[in-house]
Amino acid sequence: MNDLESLISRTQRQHFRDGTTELMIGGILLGGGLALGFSPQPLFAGFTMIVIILGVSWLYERLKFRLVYPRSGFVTLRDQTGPRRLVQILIGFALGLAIVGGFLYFLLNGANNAIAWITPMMGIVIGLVLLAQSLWLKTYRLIVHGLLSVVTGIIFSPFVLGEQQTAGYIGLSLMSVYFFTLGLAFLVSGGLTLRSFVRQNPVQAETSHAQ
Amino acid sequence: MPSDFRSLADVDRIIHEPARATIAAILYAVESADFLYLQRETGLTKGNLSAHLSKLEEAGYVAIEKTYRLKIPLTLCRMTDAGRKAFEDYRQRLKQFVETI
Repeated sequence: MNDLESLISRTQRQHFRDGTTELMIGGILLGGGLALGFSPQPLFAGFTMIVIILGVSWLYERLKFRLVYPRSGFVTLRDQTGPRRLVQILIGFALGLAIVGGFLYFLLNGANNAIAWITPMMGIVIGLVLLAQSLWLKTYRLIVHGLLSVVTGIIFSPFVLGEQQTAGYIGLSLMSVYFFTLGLAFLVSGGLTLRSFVRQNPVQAETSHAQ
Repeated sequence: MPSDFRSLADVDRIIHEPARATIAAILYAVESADFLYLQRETGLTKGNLSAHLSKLEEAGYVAIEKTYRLKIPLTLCRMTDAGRKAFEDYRQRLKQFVETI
C-alpha cells in the first residue's frame, strides 16, 4: 500500500516537474522586488503587487494549458485530509507564531527596527520552508533556493544591527533586494526546467477518450 | 476455507484486475485526471485504457466528463463516492489477507 503514498507524492511533484510553478513564484517575487524598490509610496507598491500577482497567475494558467498539459496530461490534486493535513496545519501555525512573535519582539524595541528585521527573518524562515519542501517533494533543486534564502537572510542581518534611525529605509531596501534575488533564481531554474521538460516530452498526437 | 481467505474471494471483481486497480489507485489519489495523464501513468494503450475506464464507469465507480478549458477539449475522469468506498474496501480486504499469510 506504500505505492499509493508514493503515487500521491509523485502527483504532487508534478507541480514542480515542468518548472512553471517556479516561473510563477519567480515572477511574483521579482515583480514584488521591483515594486518595492521603485514605488514612491508603499500603497502604490501594494497595488502594483496585486496587479503583478493577477497577471502572473493569468500567464501561468495559459502556460500550463499551452505547453504542459498537452505533454503531461491534466490532473488536479485532492485537498489533503488526515494526519498529513494536521501536520501541515501545525507547522503553519508554529511558523506563523514564530514570525508574529519575533515581529512583536522587535516592534517593542523600536518600530524601525521591526521593519529592518523582517527581511533577515523572512529569508531564514522561507529558506527553511523551502528546504523542508525540497525533501518532502523530492525536488532537490529547491535546496538551492532554500539555501539562497537562508544565506541572504544571514548576510542581511549585520546591515540592520544598530541602525536605529535609518533602519526602516534599510529594511524596505533589503526586502526589495531579497525578493529580486530570490525571484531571479526561481525564474532561471524554472526557465531551464521548462525548456528541458518541453524537449523531453513531445506533444501527444491524439488524447481524446474515444468511447 | 478460513474466513480470512474467504474474504479475498469476495473482493470486488471490477477493481480486482491489475489495470483497473492501477487506474482506481491513481484516481483515488487525485481529484480528477484527463485521459492523457492516465495513459502516461498506467502505461496502457488508448484502446485498453478506454475499455477499462468504460467498465469502471458502468459500475458507477468513475465519472467521465467531456469539457473545455481555455477552448481546449478535455476528457476528465474522477472517482465517484461509490468508487472511493469500493476502493477503500478493496484495499482493506487485500491488506487483511496479506497480513494473515
